[in-house]
Amino acid sequence: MKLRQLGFSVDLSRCVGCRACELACQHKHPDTLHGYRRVRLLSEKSREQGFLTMACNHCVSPECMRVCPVGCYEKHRDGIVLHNSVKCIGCGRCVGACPFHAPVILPRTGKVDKCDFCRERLQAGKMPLCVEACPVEALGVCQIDCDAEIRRDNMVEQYTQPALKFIKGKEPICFWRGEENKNEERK
Amino acid sequence: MRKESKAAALWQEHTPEGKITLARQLTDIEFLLLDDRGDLRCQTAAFPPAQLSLLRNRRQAFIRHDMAVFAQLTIRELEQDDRVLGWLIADCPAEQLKADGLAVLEELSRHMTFLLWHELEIRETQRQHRDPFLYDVLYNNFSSAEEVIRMGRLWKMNFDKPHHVVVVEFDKPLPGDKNDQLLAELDNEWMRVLSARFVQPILMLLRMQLVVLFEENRTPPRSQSELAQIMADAVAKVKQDFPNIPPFSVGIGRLHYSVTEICRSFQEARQALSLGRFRQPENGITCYENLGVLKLLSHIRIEELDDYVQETLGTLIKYDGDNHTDYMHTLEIYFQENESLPQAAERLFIHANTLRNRLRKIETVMGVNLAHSEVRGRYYVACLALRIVRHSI
Repeated sequence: MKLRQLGFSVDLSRCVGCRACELACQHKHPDTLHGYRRVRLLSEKSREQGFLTMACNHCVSPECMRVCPVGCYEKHRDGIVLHNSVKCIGCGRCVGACPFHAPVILPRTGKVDKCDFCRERLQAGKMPLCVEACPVEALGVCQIDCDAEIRRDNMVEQYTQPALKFIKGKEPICFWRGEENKNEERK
Repeated sequence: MRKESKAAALWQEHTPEGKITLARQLTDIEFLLLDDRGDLRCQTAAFPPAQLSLLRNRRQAFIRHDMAVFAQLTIRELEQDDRVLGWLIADCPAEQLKADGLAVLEELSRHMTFLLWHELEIRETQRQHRDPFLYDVLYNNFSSAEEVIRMGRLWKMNFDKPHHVVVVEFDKPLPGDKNDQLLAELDNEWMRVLSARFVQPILMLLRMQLVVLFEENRTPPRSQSELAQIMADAVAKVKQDFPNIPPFSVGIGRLHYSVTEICRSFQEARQALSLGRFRQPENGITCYENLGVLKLLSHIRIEELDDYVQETLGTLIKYDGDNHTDYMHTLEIYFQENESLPQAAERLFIHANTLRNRLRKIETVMGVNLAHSEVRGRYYVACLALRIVRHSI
């Protein structure tokens, strides 16, 4: 079976840390405190720009799905991991388990919610709001050939460790791209 | 009612059940419908039980087209494009059927042929979607358990029973084409080995992994250790039949009782496979339940793990570096072999007394007593953390 897998791509060499993506997400999800996307400041020793924008990475092995006791999470055939708020009991297990802190508990409902890749916008042929809001086009959407790409797992390794939690087993679908990769591509 | 209009009345109903009930009302004849395997599909309420049991007992007669044994019945074979779709049976010998009854029977057989053909087309189309369906089961992508159970029956999968989930993956990345080819061979081998043991093993190739689901039909269900033993036997058989196969590991998820929880079992099996490699890098069989402290360590930041390793084992690592000794490796093997002196000594190719001396030296260097369980626990965790750190950096 040929699987589709949508993912975010982040060009670290372009990101200027303007937080437009964060604000766009917050605008779309006013019930949340900060939206589902975060721009993190990273050590300049390891990152040339020092910013890393991150939302749900729609992992191949979603930790949230493993720990949820009531089966709120589902991964669709396009690879997007969705959360079903109707079933959610607000236990917060997924919040603790996700290495990227993607699920958040909504203060108003006490239930969890997370980035849904702006699914309704994708269906309408538009880009997710965070991608559309990025003024420098650092954030994009990519469709990954799972079978070919996941084995390579180079960029994820290169740009997320050791700054983030141990993630190899989770196989996040997000590629962080920096100057080194650009040079490799040019070759 | 004229015989044409009686037959035309059958259009009022849209299901096989509705049509034979209506035909019964129009003709006072009892009807019965068998599917292409000779199994009962539907019948009218008063169809004689004696005739029904005769049909059941002589099911092979349908396959052989030997209808002489059913002299008291009228049987119409429902056929489309040279393919038998089923049989329509009237509880009345053909010579006793009146003209209007015969007309209704003929019309009913045409209706049933169409309906069974239509159902067959739907089934065949659904069968083509087996892999996407299994993907949906593994990733909880469906609206209700009932829907999955119903759909699963199209492929003879009994999702109303609990299923074990096992994931198999090659330990080292292989070139794309070779990986596909070897996985396909592994798929065949596992299917052959598991079919001898389980009723209906379900195998699927998904993202460079072989996912195996099989039904648990025992009460009480098999424990994970029993399952690990079964898998070990299966692995041994596969390796015996296929000696050149590259090393592969197996991860086993917990048994969850509902189909809605198969997704959890799948993720657990994948995690067991992934984390199990820190214990046994190749040819390992790991149960999720036995991951123990590894499960917790996998959620801790690498920097924190590294700090813990340095705090706990830093002195020993430094001593090894300064004196060109290998005490760290000795300690790791000692824990890997379940603190068994003979087994650890055998693995290190040294005498048990030499190992005992080395452990004493390790205690002196670190200033601890390994006889205390708290100390042993701390160093065991540190050794596991060290493996994760080494693997990650």
